[in-house]
Amino acid sequence: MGSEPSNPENEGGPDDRSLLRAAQQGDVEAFGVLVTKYRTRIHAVIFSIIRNEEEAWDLSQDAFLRAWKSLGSFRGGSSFYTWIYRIATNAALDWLRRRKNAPTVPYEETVATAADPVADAAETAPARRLEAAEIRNRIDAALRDLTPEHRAVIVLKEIEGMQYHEIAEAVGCSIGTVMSRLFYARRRLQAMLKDVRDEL
Amino acid sequence: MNSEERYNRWIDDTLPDREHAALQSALAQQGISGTEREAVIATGKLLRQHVPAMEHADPFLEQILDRIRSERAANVRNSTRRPAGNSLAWSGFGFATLAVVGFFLLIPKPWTHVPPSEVYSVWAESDAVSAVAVHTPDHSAFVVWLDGLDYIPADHAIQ
Repeated sequence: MGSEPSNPENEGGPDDRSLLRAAQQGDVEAFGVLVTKYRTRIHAVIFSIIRNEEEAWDLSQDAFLRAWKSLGSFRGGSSFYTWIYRIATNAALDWLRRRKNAPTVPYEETVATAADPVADAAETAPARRLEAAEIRNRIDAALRDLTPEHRAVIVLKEIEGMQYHEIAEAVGCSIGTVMSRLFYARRRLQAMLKDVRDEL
Repeated sequence: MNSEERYNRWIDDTLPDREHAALQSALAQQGISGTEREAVIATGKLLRQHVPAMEHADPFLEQILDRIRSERAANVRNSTRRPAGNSLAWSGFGFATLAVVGFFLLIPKPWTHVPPSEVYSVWAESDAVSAVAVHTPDHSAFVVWLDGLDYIPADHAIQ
């Protein structure tokens, strides 16, 4: 997709490897540069998965602190970019599991049987342009309808523009699983948000 | 390539030409219309447009760095305290070991029983002087004990 966000590693400034090496040697300032570089993206990912701004801020903090504490064990098998996304995604998924607000029925089973929220929404939505807050609420509702795992995959793909192998690494599953989750999540979301798109 | 991967690569516009025929049949089988691609792309754009901007980005960084520094300071404090704590633990261990060893030294040890010294002979030359010959098996030695003799200085010249 042409509008995909770029990999932050390709942006200017010191490269991640040298910052990481310095941070591994105890350089807090170097780690601070990495935090500055990734904080908004990590926050966006966590928020998009858990749909709670306040908690997203705290979880982002925890993700970076967890990364700092684990710097010694990071051997550079993957990039810092995918590593920190993995930590953040796990933090968000763990939070959701603790909250137990995930759908209990596997998503694949709900596709065929769930009532069509698109049709309901289209009938009740007044003919006017939606406010940003309303759109946010509709997106929240649509994403909450997905399991945390489906949510994580679509967020990493559509919001972060990650490659399939990067998503697989960040979520800790195979590329085939990523494809499968993404297929259902894309189909479901585009159906649920049809009326929102139509009114924009 | 399975139908799910084919679908995703079609959305991403990375589907090889040779897969297009298979895609069309898969789309028809699953009742997916040709406009779905645009719909999915527009949905992705909608998601990206409505991610709230991160608030308090500067305090976010400062708070992380503060937490790292305070944890690091706490670790340093703990590591400097650790030898004192360790020496106390080692002292306790040493005392306990000594107590156990002392206890075993003091109690009778039947498994290391040494027969008592054996008196071989006792005789008395006079009322004042007596002699006892004793064998001590633990030292493998004979001891002759004389009692009642006058004191003889060490520098007394033997004549």
